[in-house]
Amino acid sequence: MSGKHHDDHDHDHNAPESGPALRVKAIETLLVEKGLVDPKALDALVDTYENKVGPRNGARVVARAWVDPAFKASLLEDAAVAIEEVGLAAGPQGEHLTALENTATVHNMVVCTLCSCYPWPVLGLPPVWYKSAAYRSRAVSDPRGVLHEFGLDLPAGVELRVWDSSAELRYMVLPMRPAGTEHLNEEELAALVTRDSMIGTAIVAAPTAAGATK
Amino acid sequence: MKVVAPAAGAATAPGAANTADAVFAAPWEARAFALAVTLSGGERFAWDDFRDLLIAEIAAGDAAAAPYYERWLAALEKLLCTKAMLNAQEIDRRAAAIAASPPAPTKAQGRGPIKIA
Repeated sequence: MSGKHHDDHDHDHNAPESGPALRVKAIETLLVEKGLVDPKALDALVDTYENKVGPRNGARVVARAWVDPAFKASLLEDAAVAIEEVGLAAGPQGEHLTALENTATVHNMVVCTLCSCYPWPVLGLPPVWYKSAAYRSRAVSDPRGVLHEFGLDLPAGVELRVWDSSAELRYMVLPMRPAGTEHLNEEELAALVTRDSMIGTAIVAAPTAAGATK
Repeated sequence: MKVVAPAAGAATAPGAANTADAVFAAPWEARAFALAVTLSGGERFAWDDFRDLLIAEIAAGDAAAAPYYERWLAALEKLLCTKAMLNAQEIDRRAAAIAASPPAPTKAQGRGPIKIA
């Protein structure tokens, strides 16, 4: 944010709005008056993406795939259909969801080179870095360098595949189940799965002693 | 140009990376997001119409590193005008009207308690 905007200052209820906040308010009030948009629908959508949809959804999908081979097969076959099995709906930006399986020899990572296409139903809205010019270009020009910055150094023998998300195809990565997790149940496994591991900029770490006591 | 500087310890705390970013940095970003998504589900325009303009705005804004939701808003405004749902003049007029009439003060302005009984 540039310094000239004070619109996100929570405690001053009387500050005049300016910049983009003012512009959005003008647009919204006009559209509401013309009957083109329902403010309640806007409220509901914001609530959904701020509070209800997020990477925990994807983590449940991954954990189910780890414990249920039949589910994993259907996830890799048609992820948009398979996620309904764990109570998720394909919904906006999830109609053409495709899951990419990481293995001992193949690591997948996902980018949207032109904008910010991302599988909303399983991961929520993308993090700031996913939308940055640096990630959009360097995920293609220097993907191993990008992974190194995320703290992930892939062995030379592992093939790195970079996938470009689009309006037609949205990808999520099915990360590898870490070793030493045989005793964990589905819910405990889901707690290990991070957002970045489903974008492919991280792997799922085995639980540590500290993690197990928390 | 580095992509990301992960917070120390983030890699060792499962799940920590999931909460590092707020979904929206300010309320107006959420409203702009919701307007585009809600309207693209209707009859006036399709998501791809919006996405095409968003791609153009993002490409144009990369050099200046313009914030993502400012580009999103620019794409939305262009689309609304292209589809004749709004025009730039009425948006300007409405924005000026809102700026000229801030909400009436309804909250205490001072620092002390609002009532002592």
